[in-house]
Amino acid sequence: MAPPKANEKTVQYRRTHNLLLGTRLLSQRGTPSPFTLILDSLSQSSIPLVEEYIARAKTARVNIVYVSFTTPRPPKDVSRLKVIRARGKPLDALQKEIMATTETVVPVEKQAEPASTPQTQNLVIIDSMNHLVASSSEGGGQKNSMSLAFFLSSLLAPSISLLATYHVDIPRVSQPPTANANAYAPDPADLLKYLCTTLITVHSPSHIFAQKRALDKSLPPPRFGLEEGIEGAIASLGTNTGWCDTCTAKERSRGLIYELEHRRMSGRAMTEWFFLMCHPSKKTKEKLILLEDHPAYNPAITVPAAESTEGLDDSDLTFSLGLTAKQKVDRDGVVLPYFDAQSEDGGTGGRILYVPGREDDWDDEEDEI
Amino acid sequence: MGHTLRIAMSRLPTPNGILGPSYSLLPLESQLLLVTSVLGTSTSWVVYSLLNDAFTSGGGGGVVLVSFLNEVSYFCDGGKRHGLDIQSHLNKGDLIFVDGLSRLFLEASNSSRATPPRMPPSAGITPRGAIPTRTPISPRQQVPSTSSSNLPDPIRYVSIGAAGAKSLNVIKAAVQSLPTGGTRPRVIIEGLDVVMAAAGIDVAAIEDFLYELREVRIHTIPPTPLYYTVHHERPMLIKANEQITSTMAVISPSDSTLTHTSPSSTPLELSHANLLLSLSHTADAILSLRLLDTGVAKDISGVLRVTRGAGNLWRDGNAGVVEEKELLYHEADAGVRIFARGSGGH
Repeated sequence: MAPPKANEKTVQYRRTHNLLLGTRLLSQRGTPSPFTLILDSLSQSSIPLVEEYIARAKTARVNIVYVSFTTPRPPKDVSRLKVIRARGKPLDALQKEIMATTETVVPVEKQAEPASTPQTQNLVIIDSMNHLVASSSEGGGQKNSMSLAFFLSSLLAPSISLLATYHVDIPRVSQPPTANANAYAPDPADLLKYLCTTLITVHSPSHIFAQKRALDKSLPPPRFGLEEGIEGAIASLGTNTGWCDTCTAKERSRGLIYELEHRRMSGRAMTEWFFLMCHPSKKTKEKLILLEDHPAYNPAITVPAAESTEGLDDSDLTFSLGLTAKQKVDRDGVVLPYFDAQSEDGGTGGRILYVPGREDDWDDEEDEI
Repeated sequence: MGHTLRIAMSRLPTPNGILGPSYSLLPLESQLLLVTSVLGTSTSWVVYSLLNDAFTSGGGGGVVLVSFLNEVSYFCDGGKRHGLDIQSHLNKGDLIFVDGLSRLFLEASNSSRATPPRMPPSAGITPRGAIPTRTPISPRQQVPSTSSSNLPDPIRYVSIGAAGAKSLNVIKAAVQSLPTGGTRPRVIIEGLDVVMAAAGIDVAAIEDFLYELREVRIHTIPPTPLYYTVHHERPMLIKANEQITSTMAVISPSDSTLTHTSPSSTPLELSHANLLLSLSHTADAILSLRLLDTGVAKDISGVLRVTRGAGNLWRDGNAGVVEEKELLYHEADAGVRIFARGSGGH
């Protein structure tokens, strides 16, 4: 989906409601989304967003389980983070291992006093759903391997929320159809998109801004990554670079744009584009803002009303709308009739001078001058 | 000789020159550099550049060079032009060459030493897609091995027999047999797609293998924490229980016919795109060579684009950052020069 047009009418509402929901989902506050699916591509990795989730979960004292298929160096500085090496393991063994690592079981003696020990929240992070799909029965894994839907639903518990990344540009190597494969089953990627409760698509800020600038001039938006159309180039410039005017290259790449679709239990969905900044905003102390509130995306948002008339662009007019200094002084010197009325003693200028004529039916009780 | 050697070497761009000065600050463990090329661009100079960096940066870490496309004589000849004496490094033992071409479809010999197999490959072990067995494949020129018996074999061979993907473990054994001076072993792999296309090994098996290779455990880890200074600015702390993992460069073609797939693509096309894109999703840096977009030029060989990979995004202490850039390069007899667009190469 294309990024939204800046919309003045609804932005105020979305700034309060959608931003609040976006922050709540990111911080895992309240009832977190049970299954968050992040779609990423070569142009923008989901890692900065996953790190933000981990950082916020750390402060919320959430038990984090990192299921690593492709990450050789998972984050090390997180104390409450457990890493499961998932590569090459069958799904049922993996499922048992995840369940053993999550802190779901409340000991029996503590169950008697439920108010004293709140249940620990768990965040299970899967770094590459592509590999999980490949080893499931839908993705053409080994015989009698677990199905994807069964694996995911077996993980779901009120105390577990799942955060999984799916790389959309890696093609799935389809196995020759076996006898028991359902030819009418949906693609595993579609199944995941259907099952998840929050769907996030990440984008590179510099690519989105370049497309926005082109669209603002009614030019065809440039394409990036594999779609760039340059032979041999699989990643474009601007990949994983983030966007910031003040930070260093290392800090800057923590920023990204993401499109969030949250499906409530009622079935109503909320869609919003967010910008995750690399540093908290000075005003709101929050890293997450609406995409429309970012000055690089929506330049109009930064120009205050007082300045907007000052820098009036009259470069394409054939006459000058401005005033010279002398013209300004002369204009200030002009005395207009109503000035007299505003002076301290009332002056004489503000009175209505009317002399009643013969034709006026003058009544002393009612009329006065 | 020494003088000319030094001059020639200085003409080879260093990885620092290609990837930015913070290349040496990239995390040492499990680093993955993906080098992609198109038809018409040669990646050999990148191999020489990486080899040169490994041999000159000090520390004594060894290199395993794996090629499924070229024999060792190709690299010896090419290295000579860039002032890199590959043969002497093979003899010294800090370079092991794994030949994936000469005996890929021959039976694995028990001793990988210089007795080339004389028998024709038996039809039973020929995997699908293999060359039909018409004549005995005569063994190519053997580089005389002068290594003493205590040094690891400088040249190993991969033979895909009945073992399938297991036969790639030769590479893993080569990495483990490198002398460890406290530095990470470096692995350079060229032409993995041959294993997939010609030897019919599943893409998942290759990915698993690469993943294991990045986490190869070296046995001679000192029992106490030690500081090693590999580079002047590269102090490295190795804890007793920490794995020393290898740094890997994978060289793979990325022509659009190999990366753009549709649902009707053949399994091999899908496998190739799957391998390339999976690797790019975990790489620290992607270094892609391509031809000039505007056509052929006399003094420009191609365009070199460096982009930051997802592996470089983790917040790892003081790890370096890959700088994205697009440069031109010119490969000539005198060496390889990289320069910015518009600077004309003068």
